[in-house]
Amino acid sequence: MGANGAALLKDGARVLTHCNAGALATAGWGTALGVIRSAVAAGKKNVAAGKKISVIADETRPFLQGARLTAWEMVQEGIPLTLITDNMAGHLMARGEVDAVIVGADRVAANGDVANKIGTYMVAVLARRHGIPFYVACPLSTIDLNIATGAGIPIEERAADEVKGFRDCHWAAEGVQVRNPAFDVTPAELVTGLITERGVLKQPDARGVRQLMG
Amino acid sequence: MKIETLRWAHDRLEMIDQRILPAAFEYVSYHSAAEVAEGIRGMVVRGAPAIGVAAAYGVALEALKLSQTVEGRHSGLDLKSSGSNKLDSRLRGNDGTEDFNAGLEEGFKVLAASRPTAVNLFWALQRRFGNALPRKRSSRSRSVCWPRRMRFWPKTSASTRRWARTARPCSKTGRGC
Repeated sequence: MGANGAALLKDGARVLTHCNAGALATAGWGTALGVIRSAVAAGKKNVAAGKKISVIADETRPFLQGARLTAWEMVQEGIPLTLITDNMAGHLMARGEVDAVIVGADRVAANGDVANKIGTYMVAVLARRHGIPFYVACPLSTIDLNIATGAGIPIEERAADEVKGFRDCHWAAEGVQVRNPAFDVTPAELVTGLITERGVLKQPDARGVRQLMG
Repeated sequence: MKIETLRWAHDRLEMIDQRILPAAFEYVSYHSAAEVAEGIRGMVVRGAPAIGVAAAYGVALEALKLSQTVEGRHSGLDLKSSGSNKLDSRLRGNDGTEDFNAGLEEGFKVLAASRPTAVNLFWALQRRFGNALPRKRSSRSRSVCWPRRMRFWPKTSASTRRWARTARPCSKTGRGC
């Protein structure tokens, strides 16, 4: 999967990612970060094949997987990373500072709609607006042919405390009403390609997903 | 650096506590399906593929735990009872297989409910154990003894694991042999 995705990245690419789709999320190489690591790792064996990749990580409110986990993994790995808050992505894209977006997925419906960490949809819309390729890296086990479209994917709603504060620190007004959906659905039409261990499915749709799953 | 997000340690599962990373790097230990489900819900482990792996280990832990309690209870019974009583209890279907199957099914349910959006969890549960789920009597079923054969899981051989995926209760008695 990593090698399949790495071929899509240009040398010197600045890749934006949301949440954490690395070793910590997969018990292995990682999906979205796996693609980045593969692109960088190629250079350790063959300098000409290696790419200089830098990562821009959305901090990923409310649980901060980007700021805590993605940043930690990339520091361990020695891959350059710049941390931003979620609301800064559009500004960087508008200024031409993002070359590609790669995220993971929690579930992909049969038509290619992608459920992933809350905020992914927002990034996908921004990427389309600025003509930046938006890739989703996931193993075939994440594709659920039993669910026709993203509308059928159950979205977990988590506790209000996660939005009102973090651990012991609380900043929201007492008694305020809170919504905390943990995931959102990105329609397949916004996805440039689905990166899997079986290859890259460009512009995923129901037919393409069916063929990919064989 | 190789990060071991989850690791099997003798008779328990250990997972990096991702709630406190990177401020602290600690492993938390788990001994049952319910504990693993709580870990998934509480975000000790997150990310769809990792959750799938954790859930598979959760079922293994439950099988291990159940096989120990079922074995213990029934060997205790055997010490007190005479040979014929032992036979009677086996004929009545009281050898613990049903307890084991019910317990395992309960473990499945609690794990499957822990993170509804992540599909890999269901994928791992179905693929690894779907065929080994307790089933109703089938005329073409094979004679099995769940607790005994699964006692050393996941250290069992590949052939036993293959067998476990296709195992059915005994066709004559509708339970383990």
